[in-house]
Amino acid sequence: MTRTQSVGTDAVADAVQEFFQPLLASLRASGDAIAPLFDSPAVTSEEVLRASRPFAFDVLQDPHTVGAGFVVSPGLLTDETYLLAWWQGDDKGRIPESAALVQSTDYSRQEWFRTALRTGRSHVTGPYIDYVCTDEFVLTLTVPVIRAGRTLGVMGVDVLAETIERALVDVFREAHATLVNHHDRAVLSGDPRIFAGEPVDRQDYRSAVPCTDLPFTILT
Amino acid sequence: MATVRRPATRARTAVFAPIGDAGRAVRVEQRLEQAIRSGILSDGERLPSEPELAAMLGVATVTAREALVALRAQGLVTTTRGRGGGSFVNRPVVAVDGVAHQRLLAMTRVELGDHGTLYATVLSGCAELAAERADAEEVEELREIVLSADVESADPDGAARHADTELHLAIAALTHSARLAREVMRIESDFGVLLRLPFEDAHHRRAVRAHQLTVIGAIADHDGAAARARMRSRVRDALGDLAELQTGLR
Repeated sequence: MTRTQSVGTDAVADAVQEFFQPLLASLRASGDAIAPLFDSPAVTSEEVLRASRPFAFDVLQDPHTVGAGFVVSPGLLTDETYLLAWWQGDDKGRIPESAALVQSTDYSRQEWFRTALRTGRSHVTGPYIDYVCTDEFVLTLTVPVIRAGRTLGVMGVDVLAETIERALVDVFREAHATLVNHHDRAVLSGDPRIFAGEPVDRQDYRSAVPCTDLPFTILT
Repeated sequence: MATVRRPATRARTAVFAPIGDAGRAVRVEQRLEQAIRSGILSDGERLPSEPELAAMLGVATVTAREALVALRAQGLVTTTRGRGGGSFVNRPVVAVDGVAHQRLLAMTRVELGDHGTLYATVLSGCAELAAERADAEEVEELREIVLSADVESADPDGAARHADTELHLAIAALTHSARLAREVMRIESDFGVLLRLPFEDAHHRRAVRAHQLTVIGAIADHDGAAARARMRSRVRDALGDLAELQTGLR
């Protein structure tokens, strides 16, 4: 059977960029706006929460998102080692006020935190089950927040894997394309038999086109 | 309406097992509803009388009656009076398929994969334990369930769906865990109904039957690892066919 490919890889790549770049731009702007707070010699968690809240809410304006916030590099605050200034859900409640698990979580080894700061570039983690915050199958977009060479933390946003599917599945189906992350796990596929999160073998595909500024590859 | 007689099996015994002190009409109703929708109780088969049902489930007669009234209101049971009368199962086959197709269409692929993973993990775990615990007679009962599905009948996909559901419930019963058996009953009446939509295709039915026999073969050999792996690929293949069906409907 000949498979007619009505949509090319370029169109697929454009659709991916159109989905992710506005979110990353929003994160960068928010991170830049929060950073000057740390010019002060002594910063408290309360100050960070107060300063971050309006910017997290700005990011959450995008209907694709389920949670957003600023995550402080450990050791920068006078009163807390770790701080997730993060808001989520329809009521935009702050997590994790009640969750002891979250309060004490050392997020410095989490991919969404570590990779963005190590590379100094935006990063997308997942799809993974976020058992700390949402209990959902999500992707987390993070951008490093750095001021005058000093690492302050990451600004991030969670997007449900389902949301990405809804936005992009048609174009991927038409192009018979599969989007994989840098661990070669499927983010989304036009092939009904490949589910998000499953390992994909690049060798099974004719072409592999990396996505600009995103840790993703489009396989066809 | 003809009365369908069926042999007693573990899955059917579980349907009528005592429901306990906390039993209420609504729990009786739910259990029977699940059994009817998933096909453990056949279309047209006569239910036990109110006093019999009450005694089997360990509830008051008035509670059993209340549950039957509710099932009648749902159209899942028909009651006739007089000699030869009683309550009969009325399975809305077409309506269930229609509802299932709607549910399938409304689901994202992420959701489909999520349901499929839970289903595959629970069922393959059951198959593994069943292989360790089943005796020869129990294995023979499993085989009879599969072979009882009359592929030449007027409703071949209905018969095959029924047999496949019953096989899974019977395998779950062989784990000797009541909680696991109940969980399998729950996922069968929830996602199982969707997973069996591809049974409308004769090719799919044949493939499932081949899988069923290899799973039972591994259980007969007391090979837990093989039973697990075979059940997993049985679900995996069905999930792929279901995803293709979903894509085709769109």
